[in-house]
Amino acid sequence: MNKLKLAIIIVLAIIGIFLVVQVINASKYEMVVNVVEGENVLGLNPLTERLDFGDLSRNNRMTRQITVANGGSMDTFVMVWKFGEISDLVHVDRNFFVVEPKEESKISFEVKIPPSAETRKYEGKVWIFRLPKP
Amino acid sequence: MDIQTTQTLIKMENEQHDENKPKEKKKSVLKNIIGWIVYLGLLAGLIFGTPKALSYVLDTSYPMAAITSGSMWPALEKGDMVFIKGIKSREEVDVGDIVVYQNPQGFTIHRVVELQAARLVTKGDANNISDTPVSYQDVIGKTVEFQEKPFRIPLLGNVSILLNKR
Repeated sequence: MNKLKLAIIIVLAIIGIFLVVQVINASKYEMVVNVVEGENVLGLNPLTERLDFGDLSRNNRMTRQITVANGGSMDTFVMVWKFGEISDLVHVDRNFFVVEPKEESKISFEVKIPPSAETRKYEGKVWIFRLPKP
Repeated sequence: MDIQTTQTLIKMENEQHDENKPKEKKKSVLKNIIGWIVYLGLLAGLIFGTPKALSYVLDTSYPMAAITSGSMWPALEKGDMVFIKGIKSREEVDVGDIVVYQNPQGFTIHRVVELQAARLVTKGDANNISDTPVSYQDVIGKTVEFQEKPFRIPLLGNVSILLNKR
């Protein structure tokens, strides 16, 4: 019984360490959109360090892209996790896919402002995990 | 002499302990099995009994619903679980209520925007246009509210969505 407990603890510890390493290695971006009054209002803030969708009025949409490059020699499994208030408004065009060695792939993030959105800033985060595919 | 007697007594007690060990082990295993059976029974009772109990309390055959789209954002979010209270007459429905109704595609949970004589009109908060009017008979119920907001359990509806996908 003790050996079994020890084995379970070791397995859980390995999984825990693996998860911590993946979280540390993940590419992390902030997402932000400022919902403003008016029709067809667009104001872009082209920053590279975060996914800033700028100013948008209701019923408008804006797309930004992130390029995932695989410079290694192994297939890389890519997983996108978005969270925060803005995440309900953001559509990711692809998730859970593989990037082959020396290849790159684009992920589009489209924010769509519904008529029920309030005029204020909506924020959130997106984490892109890259796991070596055995 | 005294020491020898004590040693003999201890030895005898140890022997008795050794004889009792398999019995104690059996008892403990049996206790564990009974415990697990009771636990699984309670769990099964909760899983199968809760919808039935809710169905009785809320007076509807569909006491729970999972939100599968963002059309009611931000009042209801995709993956939410909401509770539905059955309605008996059209007088129980008001403009602003979030109702569930049946349509050929399945079920829709949207807000009432207009009450007509024979039908009612709904619209998703995040949609620009209203839905096709539905008859009062097609309305199953309205969402249970807490502090004037629909009572929802975030993410729990994802379980139902995943099961339905399979």
